Parts: sequence; C-alpha cells; structure tokens
Amino acid sequence: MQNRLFNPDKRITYLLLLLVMIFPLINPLGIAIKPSENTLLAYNYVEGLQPGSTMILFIDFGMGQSAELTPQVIASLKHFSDKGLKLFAATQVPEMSTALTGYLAETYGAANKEYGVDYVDLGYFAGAESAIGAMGDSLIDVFKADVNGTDLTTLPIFKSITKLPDINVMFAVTASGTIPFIRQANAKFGMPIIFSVNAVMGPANVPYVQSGQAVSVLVGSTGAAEYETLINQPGTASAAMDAQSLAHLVIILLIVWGNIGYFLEQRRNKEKNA
Amino acid sequence: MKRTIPIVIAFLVGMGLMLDNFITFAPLNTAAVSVRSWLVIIALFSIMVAALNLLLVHIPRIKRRQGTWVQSSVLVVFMLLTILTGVFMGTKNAVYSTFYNGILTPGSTTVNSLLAFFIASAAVRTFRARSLESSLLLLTAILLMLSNVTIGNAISSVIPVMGKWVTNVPNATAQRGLIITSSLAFVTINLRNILGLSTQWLGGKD
Repeated sequence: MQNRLFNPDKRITYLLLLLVMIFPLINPLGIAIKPSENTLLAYNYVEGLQPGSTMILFIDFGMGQSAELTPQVIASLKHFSDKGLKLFAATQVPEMSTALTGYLAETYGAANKEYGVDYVDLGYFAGAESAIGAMGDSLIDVFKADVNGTDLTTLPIFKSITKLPDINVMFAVTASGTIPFIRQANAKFGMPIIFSVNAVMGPANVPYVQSGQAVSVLVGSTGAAEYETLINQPGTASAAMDAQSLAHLVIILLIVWGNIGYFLEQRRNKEKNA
Repeated sequence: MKRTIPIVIAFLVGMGLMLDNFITFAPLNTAAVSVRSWLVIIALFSIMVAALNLLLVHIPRIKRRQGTWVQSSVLVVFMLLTILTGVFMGTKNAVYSTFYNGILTPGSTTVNSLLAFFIASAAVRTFRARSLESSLLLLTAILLMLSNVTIGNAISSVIPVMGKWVTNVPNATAQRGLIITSSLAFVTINLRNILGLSTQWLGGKD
C-alpha cells in the first residue's frame, strides 16, 4: 500500500501533468517573466545594430521541435524587422521550407517590408555544414535562386552581398548542434552568431558564449518568452510559461514525494533487520 | 584497385580542403571552391536516395503483409501524395497546405511533446537520494528546474542566481572538457580517414 502511495502509477503522473498544464492556459497566472543575462545579451546586440545591417537566419530544426523554437524565431524576426535589418533566411531541413515562408509572412511580410529589398526567402539548401562552408565562397553559387525561383542576382538585397562574410550577423536556430556554424562562420570569418537552441542543448553551449565565439545562446521557450517581454510583444511562449512553471513544480513535488517514500521504506527495513 | 582509388580521392580532396585554410595558392583555392559546391550537389542526391530507400524498405513489407504493414501503407501513401501534390500543384495550394498544417505539423509536434510526459514519469521514478552523489544530482536538478522557469524567480530571487552559477561555472567547466576531447577525437578520426589509415567508410574492418 505504502509502495503504491509513494510510487504512483505513471498514468497518475501523466494526468496530473496534463491538468496543471491545461489550467494556466485557460486561466493565466501571470507569473512575471524576468529576462536572463543571455537573452539580454542577444537583445542588446541586435539593438546596437544600425538599420540596414544584414542578418542571415538559419532554421535548423525539424517540425518536432517547432513548438519549442518557433516562438523564438517569430519574436526575433519581429525585432529584426522593427530594427530595419535586412534579412536572408534559409533552412537546411527540407520540411521547414514551407514553415520558413510562413514565419517571414507573419513578421517581415506583416510589417510591410519589401521582398527582395528588405528580406529574401532562400528556402531549403542541402549539404548542411558543407553548404555553409560553400557559402563562405559564394552565396549565389549555393542558392542560385530564391524559394520562388527568382534569380538572386536580380534582387536588390544581393547588390553588395556575394558571400557569407559580407553579412553582418548570423542568427542560427538549431536543435542539432551549434558547432557547424561556429566552425564555418565564426572560426573562419569571425562572424558574430546568435544562437537559439532547445532547452536540453542550452548548458552545452555556455562555453561558446564565455569564449566569445557566440554572442549569446537563447534557450528554449523560456528564452523566447523573455525575448517577447523585451520587445513588448507577448506571444505563444509567454502564454506557455505559466504551464511550464506549474509542470516543473509538479514534477519536483512528485520527486520529493517519491523520496519521502524511499526514506520511510529504508527506515522500515532497518527496523525490520534490527 | 577497388579500394585504392577511393582512398586516393579521399586523400587528395581532404588534404586539399584542409590546406586551403592555411595556404594562399590560387589554383588550390579555386579548386577548393569548386569542391565545396560539389558537396552541395552530392547532398541533394543523398536526399533522393533516402526517399528511395524508404520505399525499398516499406513496399516489400506491404506486399508480404508482414509486421506493421498497415503503418507502412499509410507512410507510403502519404509520402507519394505529398510529393505529387508538391511537384504538380506547388507548395502553396490548399491540398499541400492541408497535408502540411493538418497532418505533418500537429503529428510531429505531438510525438515530440509526448517525450515531456515520459521524461517526467522516468524522473519521478528514478530520482532517489540513495548516495551522496545521487543526492547532489537530485538537488542540482531541482535547482535548475526551478531556475529555468519563471516560477523560480517568483519563489525567490536567489534561485535564478544559484542556477546561473551552476550553469556558468561547474557545468561550463565540464562542457569545455567534453568539447575539447570530442573535437580532438573528431580531428583524429578524420585525419585517419583522409590518410587512408582507417577504411571503415569503405566497409573495411579498421
């Protein structure tokens, strides 16, 4: 009986989690979101860029991770658009080409930015790190045309941009690894990179920020919510923070509960053997 | 000869691309630019191969009505429908959008989201303070779980500060060691491949 009480069926865990996540989505708690140091680093860096600076966005996550990383993409693109940054957007994941078009429409398109002048959708590119290396020689040779089939040399945004080092900053949203971007862009050309990664990858990329190889690493939905707070445009990440907070709290309480049961069992066994 | 030619090609291409980073020599630099663009073309072919491989795996299963042939049928049907719709009708039409927004997106995000429940139940069942090390792990996990969400700061402003210290000091130290050792291993393995000392990529034993 005690064992079942302190080690509940996993279905009870699932049900509890489901309930605590649904509740704040319906009745938001409004827990304050305080931007962290990493988010402030990224935000302040973008704020320091002059209007007309160029930024290249790489989408390197699949549809499975889109729930966690899309809010960061949207928040960042809104900020870049407000700052008047010229954006080159591409993805190395085939299924994200359609999503990328949607992200641009929701941000740069909705802000009435001119396609081909203020931003360009380069679509999908094959080759991952090899292609990024090839972009260091020529962007035009890697992409040839934008997602609509328009020759890149006819687009005004490519007037003074021929290769990757000509672009001021890189924003890489990745769920597979930051090392290829650091190797091919920062190590070779000293290109500043802002990363956005999913939560499990956050701690592993701290050394790159400390060494100066990355401007900042924005981590998961929390980073996205903090960014939304900084740009004063709350979105899906901010809405999800209360649910995430309560879910973490419930998991911690269940872990503590399980440990109480473990210690009680240990004491009972000691008394039995004594 | 069958193994010698690929090894020689790998040596020439590998050494050429490596030296291109250190030497300014116009013929070498020009050749390296071409080779890097060829790699993109090879990657495109590999996607085609991956799609064909999917069909080669699943179609025999469907023919023999073996194992999970129903799921295989669903996969093949939707794969071909998506390809045909995208190629002949474009990716902006309503049918493709229905597949993308109605099936692919919610399906993929749902499967990934299930991980949260599995991880949570695994953590609840396995995180036990059995020893000093596991107790430290448990306390650190609780601290980081609280510091990485907004409720941590709401409970106490010390929690995010402590979480930041754990992330930036002991974690970064350990990660730095891992990054350096894995990078050295990466260089070693690739040097062995370039120099022909390892032929595993050719189906060899070493």
